[in-house]
Amino acid sequence: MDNLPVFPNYIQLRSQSRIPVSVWHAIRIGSVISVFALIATLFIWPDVGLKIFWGMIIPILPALFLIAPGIWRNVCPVAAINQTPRLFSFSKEFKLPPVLVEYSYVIGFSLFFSIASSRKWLFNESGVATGILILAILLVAFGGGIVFKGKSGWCGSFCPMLPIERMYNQTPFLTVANSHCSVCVGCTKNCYDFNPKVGNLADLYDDDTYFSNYRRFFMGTFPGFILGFFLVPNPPEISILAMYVQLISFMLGSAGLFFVLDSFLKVSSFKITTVFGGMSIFLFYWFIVPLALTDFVASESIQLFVWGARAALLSLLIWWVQRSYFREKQFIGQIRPSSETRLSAGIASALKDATSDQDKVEITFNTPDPQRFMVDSGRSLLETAERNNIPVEPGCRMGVCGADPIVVLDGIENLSEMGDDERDTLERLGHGGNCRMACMARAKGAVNVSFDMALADDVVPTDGESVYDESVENVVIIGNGIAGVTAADYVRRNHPECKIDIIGRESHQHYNRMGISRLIYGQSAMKGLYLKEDDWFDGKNINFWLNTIVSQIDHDTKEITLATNETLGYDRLILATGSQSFVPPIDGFGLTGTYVLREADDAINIRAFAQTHQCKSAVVAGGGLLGLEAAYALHKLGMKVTVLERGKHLLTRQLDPKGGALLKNYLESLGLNILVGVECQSAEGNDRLERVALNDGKMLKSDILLVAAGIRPNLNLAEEIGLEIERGIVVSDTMQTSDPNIYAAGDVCQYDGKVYGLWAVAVEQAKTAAINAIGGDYQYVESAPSTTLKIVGVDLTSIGRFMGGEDGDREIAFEDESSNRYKKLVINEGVIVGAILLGYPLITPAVNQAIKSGRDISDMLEALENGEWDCLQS
Amino acid sequence: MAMSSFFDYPSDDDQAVGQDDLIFLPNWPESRWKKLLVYTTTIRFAPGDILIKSGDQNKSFFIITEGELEVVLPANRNQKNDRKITREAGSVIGEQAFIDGKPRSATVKASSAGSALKLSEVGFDEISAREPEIARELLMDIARLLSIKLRHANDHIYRITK
Repeated sequence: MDNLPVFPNYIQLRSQSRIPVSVWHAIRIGSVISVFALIATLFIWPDVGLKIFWGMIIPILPALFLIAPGIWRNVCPVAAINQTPRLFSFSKEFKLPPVLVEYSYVIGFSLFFSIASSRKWLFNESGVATGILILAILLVAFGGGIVFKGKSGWCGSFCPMLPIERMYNQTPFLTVANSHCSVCVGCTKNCYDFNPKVGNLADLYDDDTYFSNYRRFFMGTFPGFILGFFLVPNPPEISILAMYVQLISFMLGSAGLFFVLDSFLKVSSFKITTVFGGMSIFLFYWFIVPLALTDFVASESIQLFVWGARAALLSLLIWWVQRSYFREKQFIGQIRPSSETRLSAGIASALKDATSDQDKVEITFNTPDPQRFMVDSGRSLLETAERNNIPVEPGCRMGVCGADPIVVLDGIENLSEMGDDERDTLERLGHGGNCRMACMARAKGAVNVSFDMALADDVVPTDGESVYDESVENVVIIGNGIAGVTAADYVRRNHPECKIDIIGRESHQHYNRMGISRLIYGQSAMKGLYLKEDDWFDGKNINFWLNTIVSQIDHDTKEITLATNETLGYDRLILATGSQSFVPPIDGFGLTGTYVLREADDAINIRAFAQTHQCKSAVVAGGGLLGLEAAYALHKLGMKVTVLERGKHLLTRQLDPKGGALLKNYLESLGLNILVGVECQSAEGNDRLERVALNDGKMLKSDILLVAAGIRPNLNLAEEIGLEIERGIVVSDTMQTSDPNIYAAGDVCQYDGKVYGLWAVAVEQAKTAAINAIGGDYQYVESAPSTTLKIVGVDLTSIGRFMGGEDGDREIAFEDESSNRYKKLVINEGVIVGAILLGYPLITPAVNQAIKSGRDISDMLEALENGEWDCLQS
Repeated sequence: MAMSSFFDYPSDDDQAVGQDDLIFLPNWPESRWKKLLVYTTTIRFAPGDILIKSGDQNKSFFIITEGELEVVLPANRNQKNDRKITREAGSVIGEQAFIDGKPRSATVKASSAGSALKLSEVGFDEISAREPEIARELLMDIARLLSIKLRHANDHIYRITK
């Protein structure tokens, strides 16, 4: 019996059967002849007939049901008669009427109780009555076979022996396949003949409680019936009526016990019915065994045999109960519905083929469990990590801020080449040769990386001869943003001895300002935003002042005064005071619930406010980079966000109208509400913000107003000492201000008429200022500013002079409206001078490189016009 | 109904899709799947690699395209040993956490080398914006599957409790 399921059906069983169906047919012919011979015997020699029928055949049946019930199902003469019309195709094959389907089992066991109890006064003594009874049963079964289909006319429905078979046959020791039904016609519910091992379990676990309760009732009643059958005196000792009354009280007692147990025991009904079934068999043979043995065993040793047989039976039944319980467990395991979600056939292999490794590279993140991804060649490590929930805190995405260093354990040669910005950043961070910035490193082959910086190589000190002016002993830097910290770093690198003080107004260590929008929706607060280890400044011997305000500068005595009245002298001063948010005139700005987003504390306050007041809606005034990032952050926090843009389209400093429109589409599909060409006029509300009024008369209900209308340099200190100022502190190409001892860098300064407010620019300016301040010589070189929008899925990069429209400009642009993607190049005299890339992360580095290098691409114009931009990568 | 399967004819057509079968997007043509693929990441695994760790919190689900994985459910009060279920190519795992974002209930460990497609929340956001029709169908189908599972679970509880 190999390869069969736990609960095989009759077809599966038959395939393994050694007895052909024809043999069963032959046996059945024999059994039908025998039953007619028996009937004849009952009429002619009643004593012999009764002895054979009640004394031999009937006592054997329970044991047969217990051990190999399938044999009886196949050889029973009544079944053979019942199935004859079906076999010879003269059955009408009607469906059993519903009322009979409902009550067939009840009719069956009622017949059984009536017939079996009547043995006590009628059938046991009367061969004629018994003969007529058998004949009547055969006739009814035959009639049932003619009228009703399958076995529903008798064997599967009204047969009085069926309830007993069901009870005893649930865990057969020997399973024999049904040989009657060549084709199942589905005539009976939970058909034993179809699936022998599961029929009784399926009955008791049936959803229809009436259906299962009929069975519970019978099985609960049966041991009482058997006990009564043997213990209640036979008429004429008592009257027939008294006999029935006593028998019924035995049955009700048994049923009562069953329902008490069923109500109170914390086990399934099946467990109790199984024990009751076992009890019934045991009681039956308890009384039968001594009677049967008297015929065969000498009277002096009979007790030994009787008790031996009873003990053997008990052991067998205990085993049987155990087997049944085990079967029940298997059954429950199988009726537990599968919770497996699968693809339809074919799709799985189609997907496998569609995701072939062609043009893919393998990136392994050790986080610390290795996770290996197959990604398009050219994807950055940062993008891959972000897309796959690997914890990473990106910053500028240009390799300058130092937020996402990564250690390359294997395959560093398979990463894109390192640019100068990235090299400088790694140097600043003090990470050695096996490190990269995740945002800049693009995989072209297999790499294995880790964010655990403990695995980083130590930096090999460069032997570069540092040139510095020994007379510079004190350097003071005001501002702890990226410009200030970068300046301090480069002062120390080039001047190992001077005293460096860096004074920060904020109370946080140097952090990733570009990541502050994540403070709004992320759960990890400042953790992950700090860009320097706590001991970095100590290690560099840099004196760091946090939460400290500079109140004035005296450039004659070269001394600064802190608001705490302490003073610090300087030989060189570097102003890196950065910028603050610009708030256009909005009536009511300052009301609780109105914010700007510039510093970490702004973001922390917004998150706290949103939680305290369970804010539902927000308005962001300003559709620039910061405004959109802030809007996305508020959206992620679950708010309904409206962005107001004063200009005709979003990101006027990064996009042309076409690009702006496509970006608007995309962000609107993400769920942001975007209004262009409108301004915020006033913030209204009583204790806190309730409404925002627009200049077109519209009124927006809102809990939060966040103004992101641009930045203004912090010029107070510079103004007080009379440095040359236009829009920012005017600096030369060494970053020197109008005072030779004072330098400036970052958002606060104005170079060549421009105030940028960009990290990459601030880093380069700070480096320039630092080197020059201590006597070195380094010129600031302006590069085409490149900006990215840090909203996942946007992949927007805008470089240089993207608008075009000047003399000799040639524009090549493609848009894909259905997926909101857009790419545009502005080319002048064979050189790319500007680009917009919306939704094309893979070609971004090549375009960036082409613009930075200023190389001639005249020979590629045709390919570019055809949309084949991959040529830029060569 | 789970019970009726005991009394069903064994069918040659094993792929016939019933209403209650947990087949993910049964009516999607290959072209639609390919659109979805743009937003998934292919994950490679070797024997012993952990794809999902019990307790982790991230909204993503996986389609196994190759190989075999073992889902280890933490032992409960009455069971000494962890329970294990095998999942192989063609199986979808993790769709419940994809919807509710609750900590993963089981650890999924590779028992052979293979690969899986992962759709993360970020990827889903992007499809929603770029291919809203795909996203809507995907979401409705996951909801349908979870609803069927809930029905199954209810039926099962009803059956095994009195």
